[in-house]
Amino acid sequence: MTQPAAPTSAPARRPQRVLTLQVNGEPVEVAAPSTWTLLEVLRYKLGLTGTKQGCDKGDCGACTVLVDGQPVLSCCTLAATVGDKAVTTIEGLPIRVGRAFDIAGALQCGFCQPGMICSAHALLSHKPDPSVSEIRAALSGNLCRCTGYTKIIEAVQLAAKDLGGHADLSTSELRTPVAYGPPAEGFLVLGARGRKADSIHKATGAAIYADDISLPRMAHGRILRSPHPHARIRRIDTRAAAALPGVFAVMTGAELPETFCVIPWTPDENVLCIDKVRYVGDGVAAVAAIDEETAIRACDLIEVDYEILPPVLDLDAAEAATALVHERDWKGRPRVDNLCKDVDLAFGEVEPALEGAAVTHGATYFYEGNTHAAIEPHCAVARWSPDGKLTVWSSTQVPHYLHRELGKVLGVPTSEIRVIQPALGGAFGGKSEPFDLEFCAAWLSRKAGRPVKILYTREEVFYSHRGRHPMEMKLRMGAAADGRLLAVDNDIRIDGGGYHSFGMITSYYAGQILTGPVRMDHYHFRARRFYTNKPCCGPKRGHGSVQPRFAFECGLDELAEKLGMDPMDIRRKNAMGSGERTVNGQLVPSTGLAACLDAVEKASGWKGRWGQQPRGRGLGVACSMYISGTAYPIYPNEMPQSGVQLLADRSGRITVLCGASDIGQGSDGMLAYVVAEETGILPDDVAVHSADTELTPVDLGAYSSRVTYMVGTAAQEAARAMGAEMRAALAAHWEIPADQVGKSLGFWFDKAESGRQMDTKAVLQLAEARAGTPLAASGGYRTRKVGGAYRGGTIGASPAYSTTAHVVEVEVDVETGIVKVLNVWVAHDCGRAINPVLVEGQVEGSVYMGYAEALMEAQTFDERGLHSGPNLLDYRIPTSIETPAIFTKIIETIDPGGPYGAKEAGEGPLHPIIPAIANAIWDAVGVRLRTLPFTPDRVLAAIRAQGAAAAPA
Amino acid sequence: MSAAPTPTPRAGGTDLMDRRRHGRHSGPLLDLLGVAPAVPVEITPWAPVLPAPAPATPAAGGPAGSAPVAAAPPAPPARMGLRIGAGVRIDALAHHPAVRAGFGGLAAAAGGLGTPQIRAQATVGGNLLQEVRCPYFREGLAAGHTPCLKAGGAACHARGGDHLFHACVDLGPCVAPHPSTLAAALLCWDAEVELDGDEVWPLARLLGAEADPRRTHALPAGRLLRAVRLPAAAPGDRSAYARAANRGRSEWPLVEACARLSVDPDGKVRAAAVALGGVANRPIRLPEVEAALVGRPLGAGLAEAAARADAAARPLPMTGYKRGLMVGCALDALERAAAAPPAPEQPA
Ligand SMILES: Cc1cc2nc3c(=O)[nH]c(=O)nc-3n(C[C@H](O)[C@H](O)[C@H](O)COP(=O)(O)OP(=O)(O)OC[C@H]3O[C@@H](n4cnc5c(N)ncnc54)[C@H](O)[C@@H]3O)c2cc1C
Ligand code: SF4
Ligand code: FES
Ligand code: FES
Repeated sequence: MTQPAAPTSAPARRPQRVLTLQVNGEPVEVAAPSTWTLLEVLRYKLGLTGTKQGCDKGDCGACTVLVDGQPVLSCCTLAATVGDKAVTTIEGLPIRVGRAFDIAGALQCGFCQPGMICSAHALLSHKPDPSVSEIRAALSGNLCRCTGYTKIIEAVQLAAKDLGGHADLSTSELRTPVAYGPPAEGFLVLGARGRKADSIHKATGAAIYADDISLPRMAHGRILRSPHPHARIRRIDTRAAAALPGVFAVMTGAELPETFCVIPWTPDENVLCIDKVRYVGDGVAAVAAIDEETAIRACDLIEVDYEILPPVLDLDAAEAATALVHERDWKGRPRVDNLCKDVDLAFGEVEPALEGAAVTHGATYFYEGNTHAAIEPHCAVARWSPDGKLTVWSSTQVPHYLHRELGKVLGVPTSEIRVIQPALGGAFGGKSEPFDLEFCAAWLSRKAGRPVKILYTREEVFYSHRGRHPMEMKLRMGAAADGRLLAVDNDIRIDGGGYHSFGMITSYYAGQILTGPVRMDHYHFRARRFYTNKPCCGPKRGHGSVQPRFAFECGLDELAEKLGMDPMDIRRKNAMGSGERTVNGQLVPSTGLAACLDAVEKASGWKGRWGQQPRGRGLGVACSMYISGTAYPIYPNEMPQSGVQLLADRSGRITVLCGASDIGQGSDGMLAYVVAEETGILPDDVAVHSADTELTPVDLGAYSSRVTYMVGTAAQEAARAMGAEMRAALAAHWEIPADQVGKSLGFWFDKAESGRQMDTKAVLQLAEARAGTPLAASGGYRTRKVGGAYRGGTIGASPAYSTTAHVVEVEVDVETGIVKVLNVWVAHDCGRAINPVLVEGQVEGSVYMGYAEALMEAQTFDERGLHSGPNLLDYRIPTSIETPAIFTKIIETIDPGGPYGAKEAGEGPLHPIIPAIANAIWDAVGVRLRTLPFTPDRVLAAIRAQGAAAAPA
Repeated sequence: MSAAPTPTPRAGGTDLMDRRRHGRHSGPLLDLLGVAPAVPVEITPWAPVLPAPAPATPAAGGPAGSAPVAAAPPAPPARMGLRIGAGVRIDALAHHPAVRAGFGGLAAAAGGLGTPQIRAQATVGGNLLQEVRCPYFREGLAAGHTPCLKAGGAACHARGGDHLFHACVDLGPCVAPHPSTLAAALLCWDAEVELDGDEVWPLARLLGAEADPRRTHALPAGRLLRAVRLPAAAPGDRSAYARAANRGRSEWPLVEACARLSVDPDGKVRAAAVALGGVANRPIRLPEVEAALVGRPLGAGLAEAAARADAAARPLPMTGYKRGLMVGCALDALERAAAAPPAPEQPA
């Protein structure tokens, strides 16, 4: 261990070396430490922040730049070794490839894209007309977590056409009124395939993400983390660290004793541990220093005296309470067990129904935990100004909740705090609660009197986690001879990790969302979430309900098998209809299950192929339903859950202010569409400012697939109000009745007199003159009373539900156990598809993510609580090579309550792929896999066991 | 930690930089590929005529795989082998016409590893000398515990912990699979490595360092690997590479195999070489499989031979599944090799 001796000998700054580089066609001279990588020099010395850092160790490709035209990982390249070779970053590339990415809808969060576009550029410069497999191979070193690569591959093909002169994208400059397709019948823009509001900034490296922010005098923070899964902190000695030259501030947990949690009822976390550490990676102290290296060294100098305690590392140990993860709750009351939530709800009479069933199925399923692995690591920058005001820029998807908790923990009125969410490099639920780094950056900034930035390492991202809960599910179900689903019983144990997070909600979601779109007569579930000494789990895309859906949809196939039914038919037989109530009392205003099943059955050639292919090949089906927003806010209040304000400008532009977080899904673009639809201005003339607590009205955040439904409703209300003012002004001006005024894209007109029209800019000016004040409008989404009339009946209740069906085709190698997914057909009912490009992007991204959960990803820990591979190499997320071809069909079952009938697309489509793969493996090789992920070792073991069972004893 | 540490050579840096970031390496660096490269960066024809000097020290008691120690191999002087500079990028190796024509399995191994960016940056020398990727060794929080054997500690943590991706042929004490794909392929040609000072070792001597679990190769500190020497490909030689992975790219395979078949004009296998990577702390040859192939017509009895590929398997509790992969991968590589085009008469 490092000796905390002679801190005086430590230089505050590393020796610098002057380098001459050729960057983007110009010679530049920079002084940098000789150990700096090209990535550091580009980002932090030259301000070329378009090149991203996703792992800093060669695994993700986000830092790809071109060196003499070759794609190179700038994080593994020492700047000093580049010499006079030509370095080209995204900022220096011609715009054409980036534009094709924009037009193809290939950019979601955009974080992977500068590197991706560099690789694509290099490919196209030596292969002008690449095949799909050549594209996949060339991009295989660039991980993307959002898109499923589908639209990226299309974008490269489009760029090839453009560069080869077979398509001219330059004419589609951003000013074309309706982007790339006709709108839906009866609408001005809705339903048109359009660009995303911010894509081109992301495609050119101009978008600013949290780590791209650099403030004068900014210090770098670092959190010291526990190497033990469970230990009491006897003493922390920070003196040597504080004395190290270059260190500005050191903090420990005792300075911020207030507990917090995103769910206000269960505040069981401290910013930094005070009494105990509860998982490997739990924070114990933090420092701010002149640079990262000094901060790391300072952390090494902090001495923590731990009393090692026996860890609780699995569900059995947790239930047996071999040790207590929390000895007291947040009110100081002693605890006797590790149970952090127990939900037990029954609807109808399950046991008699099971007894009366013609066929039953019972099995235990295990869903391994996994994590979000957004390519952008969490990052926060905080500036505590001398006037006492605090500004925090954070890669969060819940600025409002962060705002509240910062106020609570720091003991500052929230009116003194401003939270800004810059461009966000992927989240998927992994950034939907406050994290230690935001509090620490703020507090260190106050102590140091300087702005402070903290950027997680990739390893810290894995340990911070808040991802998918491991769940063990004892499922029993029974059906009548005609296939009617009589009863379902699910006994669930949830491995929650060290803290509560959203745990209460998770426990409800685990049971409450399972009851559609497949109808059941009787239902009971019990969900118990336990604390363990592992990183805390939380919401990941499809929060809480992906795991039980896997068990249920596999079980449904087993019932079908016993009944001799086609798996399609058992789902059809029990399909709910629009306007029906689920057994647990949730009203489903619209559902397109039947249409979804028809679509995938037809597209996949199910009939004649299912059950009839040679051993090793198989098809599987599954379906699901998901909420479109959770009906109630996390803390009870009567205020709107979402607010939108519009400000019109004489120039003809409308500014949207909204607290919603665009996390790559495209909510900014959705807002632009809604405003354009109601006012006739072009989507490109809508300027969206979102997620800044000082400027924008509150929106609760990007979770539970609530944004399109709720923010869309608020935007619709505001835009309609503004449209009405425009209409009234024009009617008065032309002296005609208001209903005689019509609007089109770019202009308004007189319905009765052809040729009489006025462009939208003039109409806006007219309205402003008439109002005598700047033209403004606001709208809100107010809580609608839905849900069952029992305790917990409002959790999992939603104003609307999406429906999805998948058919998957797999190939299983019986010798090696390797499963290949060949094709995925998805039909997703999202209600009205406001911009189909964005819907497809969400569906493709969901499919990709679920595919990965089924076959490769696992967030597992060993007996010392250590992660089995906290990096993007050992934690396997799919590359462009193996991600299957995804065929998406959008089904639009117009919802009576959604804005224009819209529901959700961001999470629902993830659910069915996992059981569909399991069911397809059964069709291929006749084994039922009940433990995820289906890695070669497990598949092989199942096939062997089957062989052994078949062999005569 | 005494005075004047020897600088560590740095080639592409794709391995070394990662270790430094995780506190697994420190001290001064020597850049090999600066303006004046310190090691050759080309692939050149090479005639195996020089009588290879006897190795300075005999290979340190290596039990497995140590092929006959470099006693002068008088190959037909007319045919040329290849000398691959240690500074050659993996991508260049994969695309080099002479490598593709005469050593298809090696070219495929090079073209299949890592990612396009890694291949463009990483070098042949660095690939052979890279460190294991075991998370217990690499990751920061794991390193905060007592260090493992490889890091100078007393115990291997993977053995009692998570070792799903570790060795299935337990040659101990470290059970992290040898990380080099190229090493596995090169073993099939009994390649030699050339060190600075014109010393030549058989490749097998370089790989693995049983005496010291902290080391993954036997190159003494301060020495440079200059080049890899491949003997001439005989006409009729065919070779191929196969990997089993559950992610297409950007990971180490679970198991990988390279196979080389030398075929006589009468269509019978004269000599066979099959090597596996990913299964032990150094790549291994499969003498049982090789013996079963010699004398058989090309393409015959492949499955029967490959069935012996797990002869050496000594799995850990979690790696039993790799047995099947050893067989499957060896068979895959053999089938591909049997179907591969033969090396041309006159290597390009
Ligand atoms: C995502 C990813 C996937 C990968 N997949 C694979 C894979 O499937 N198969 C595989 O084999 N590898 C794989 N790799 C590893 C990669 O191939 C190695 O990191 C690379 O080959 C190392 O080469 P380098 O030139 O960058 O070595 P460096 O990092 O520069 O050096 C590595 C080591 O070798 C020493 N060294 C280098 N050259 C010399 C020399 N000439 N003389 C003496 N010492 C020298 C250095 O001192 C250092 O200790 C992968 C890496 C990543 C990031
Ligand atoms: S396998 Fe090797 S590197 Fe991994 S813990 Fe054991 S000794 Fe260390
Ligand atoms: S940041 Fe360089 S590869 Fe991830
Ligand atoms: S768009 Fe690729 S990671 Fe988000």
